[in-house]
Amino acid sequence: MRCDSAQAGLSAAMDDLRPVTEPVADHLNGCRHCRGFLAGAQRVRTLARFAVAQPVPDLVPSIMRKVRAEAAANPPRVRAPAALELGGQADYPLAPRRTSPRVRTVALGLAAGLVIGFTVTAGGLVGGNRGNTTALAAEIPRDLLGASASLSGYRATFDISELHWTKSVPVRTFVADLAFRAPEDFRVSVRDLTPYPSPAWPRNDLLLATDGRTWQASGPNSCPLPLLPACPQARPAVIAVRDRAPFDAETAMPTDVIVPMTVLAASDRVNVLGLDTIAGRGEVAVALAYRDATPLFDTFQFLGSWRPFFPQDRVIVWLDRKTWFPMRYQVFPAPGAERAAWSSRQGLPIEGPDSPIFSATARSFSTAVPALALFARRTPAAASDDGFHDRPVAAAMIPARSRAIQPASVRGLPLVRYGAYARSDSRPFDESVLAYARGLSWLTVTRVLSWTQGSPFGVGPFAESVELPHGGIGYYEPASASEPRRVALHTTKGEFLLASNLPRAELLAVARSVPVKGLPQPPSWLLHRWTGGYVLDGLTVDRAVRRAGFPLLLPRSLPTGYRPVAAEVTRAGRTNVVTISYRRPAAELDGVGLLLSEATGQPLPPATDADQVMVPLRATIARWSPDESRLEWVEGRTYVSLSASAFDLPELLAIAASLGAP
Amino acid sequence: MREPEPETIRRARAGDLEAWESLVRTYQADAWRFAYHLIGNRASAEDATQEAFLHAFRAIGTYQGQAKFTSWLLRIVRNCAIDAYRKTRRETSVPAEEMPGAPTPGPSGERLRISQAIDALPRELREPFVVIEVLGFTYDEASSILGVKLGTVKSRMHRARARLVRALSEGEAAHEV
Repeated sequence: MRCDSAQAGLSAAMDDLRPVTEPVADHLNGCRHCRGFLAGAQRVRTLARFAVAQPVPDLVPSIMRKVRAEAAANPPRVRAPAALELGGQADYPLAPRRTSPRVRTVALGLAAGLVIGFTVTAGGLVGGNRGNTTALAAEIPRDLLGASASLSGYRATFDISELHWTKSVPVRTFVADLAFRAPEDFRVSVRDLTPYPSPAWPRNDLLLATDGRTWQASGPNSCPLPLLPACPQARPAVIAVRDRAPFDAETAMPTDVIVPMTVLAASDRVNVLGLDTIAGRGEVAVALAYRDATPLFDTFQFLGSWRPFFPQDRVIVWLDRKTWFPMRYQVFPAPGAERAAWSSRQGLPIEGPDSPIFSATARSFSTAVPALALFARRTPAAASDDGFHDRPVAAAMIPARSRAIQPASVRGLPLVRYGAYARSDSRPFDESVLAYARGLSWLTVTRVLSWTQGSPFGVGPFAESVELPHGGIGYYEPASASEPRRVALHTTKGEFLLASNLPRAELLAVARSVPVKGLPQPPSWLLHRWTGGYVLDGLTVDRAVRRAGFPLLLPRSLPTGYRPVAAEVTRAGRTNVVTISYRRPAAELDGVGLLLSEATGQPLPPATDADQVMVPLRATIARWSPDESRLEWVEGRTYVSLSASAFDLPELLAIAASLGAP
Repeated sequence: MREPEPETIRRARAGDLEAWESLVRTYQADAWRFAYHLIGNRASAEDATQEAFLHAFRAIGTYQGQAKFTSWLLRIVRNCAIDAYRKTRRETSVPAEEMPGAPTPGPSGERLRISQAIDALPRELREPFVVIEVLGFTYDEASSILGVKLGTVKSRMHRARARLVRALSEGEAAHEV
């Protein structure tokens, strides 16, 4: 027996905990080299089990925070087979069936009662006067800005209907009262009017209120549907914050339902369907995908349990042409097999594209400024302290008394707050904030001193480089569902972050007027090494192509509005990876957009999910992972993946088909 | 790694967050260690571990018990760790004490050498070594986690072990000189 065969046998015996075979034992007795190998292997085992025992961080709180957020956003539904196996009942049967008469009646009622003057068909919304919709689409973002800045106060009441939450409760109805007083007083209460089968069912009675410096949300936590109606975790929760910074993104005011500044921020996403006059008011109907409309739903769905929507479901918003307030909006299921498969996975019934599954309709609205008393709330003692301390606004005007550096142009917004965070272990740097606002439009300028992190303050590694005056540079990110549009500046006078709900062009104009020069990121911020390799980020696509070390495929066709913004190159062992980020300029609500990754020496990872399917693509077979919205395949020696949580399979296949040499 | 109680899995699949938290608490350390050995960076391993549990939470409805829960979970961890190379993330320079291969407090020279040698293994050898030797899975389970054939696992495991034995003996020789 050769030594290598004997050692392989010894190795397997160590792991299988079986005695070595007789031939191996015979060889071992006569081979000093193999006895040395065995002793060495046992020593390696002992050392490895101790040496590799690195201290493990406690990740439970952070994981559970994300899991709870996920559960709130997408209440898990048990698929029918799983439910049967568990001895329970699925929310809906998997097999296609007709909608129950009761649901059908309500759906038809909604369609007939709410879609006045329009007819919604599978082909789209037809009716009223289509007018010059292209010109109107271009005007809407600018008109929204004007409407936003001129609004001092607002009150409205919305009637909300939602279908298919559970089989036992197929229709739910709510009334939501909204109030806003510029710049930062906001209040929304949701009353659940649904006749539930019994009092045991949790009701979506919710409240969110802020006066700028405090913020409070209360209501039941999300409840997993299989646990209904008895749901211990749906106990009412109160989340309260004091010493809140102005326009803090983590405790946001969901005001898109008043003027949809995020949702309709750019003309590339405004698809005008038509014009009409309803109850004497001129209205314009706009259609967009649910993935681009989520801020409209955040207003009412910050807590509680709600039904899920498919990213490509159609949201039709009727805007008042005088005020640009959304007077009503409805969700219609997207057509197609992808949507049907998703629906099945969610345990939903068959949902046709012609009937709305969610409607919010303004019953009344007023632009009278609400009284301050409406927003006053006692902050609970257990409120978390955000550590922001206001200073007199006038102090910001006196350079000797403040660290403030103000932009020369703030687009006509007056300064409304100025202050700084207290230093703490979690914020070991000096952070001061200037806040400007008029109506619903706002802008903050944050300055950070003693910044020690190796990255720009407030933006990620795929921030887009934007040119500023005098050869300066800034780093821009579009709005996401949780963050506003931002520009970061790295300067000799500290780090600056400009954040706003103003359109991109307006925000960049402000950034250009800050009296500092934006510098490129230091090389050490872009190159991150670890023992296994490195990541080089902040690259343009051209530079990434040059550094890739293998021929890249780039898309020749992208969905409307998408363009490359940044790239990174990773080297790990023998594997080179190039990742390119494609985004739309105004808002990318999932915070990611489209990511194209290509790698050498990387096989297709093993499948992890029963829902993954293989699809023919580019003379090979690709894998589609619907839960991750990822299409991946190996082409020649290159692994390619396209991922975009807001895209469905046909959209990604179209992009994949257009890939070619640069 | 011990398997969870079937009742815990059943409750987690039904959406019970307390059951899910219990699974996270039980398996986060092994998941993190596995990710750490594949990526070689504490922060990225944390990201990958968090991402993996989130993916697992989303996919728990599809877990039908055809494989061990721990194998199923580590397969997801592996994919997330691999993703960590190519997905959006903010890497910062890793202090020397955070590098894989760096010793735990008070290491012997041997432990330092073995840590560095494990880290220096190519991924296809490091993966089975960590799964089998450090985390204690069988060849069958490693085959399922890594998505390769049983024979491949055995062969890679042996090659990994042989390299480590050689690295250890070379280190000893150098030390003696």
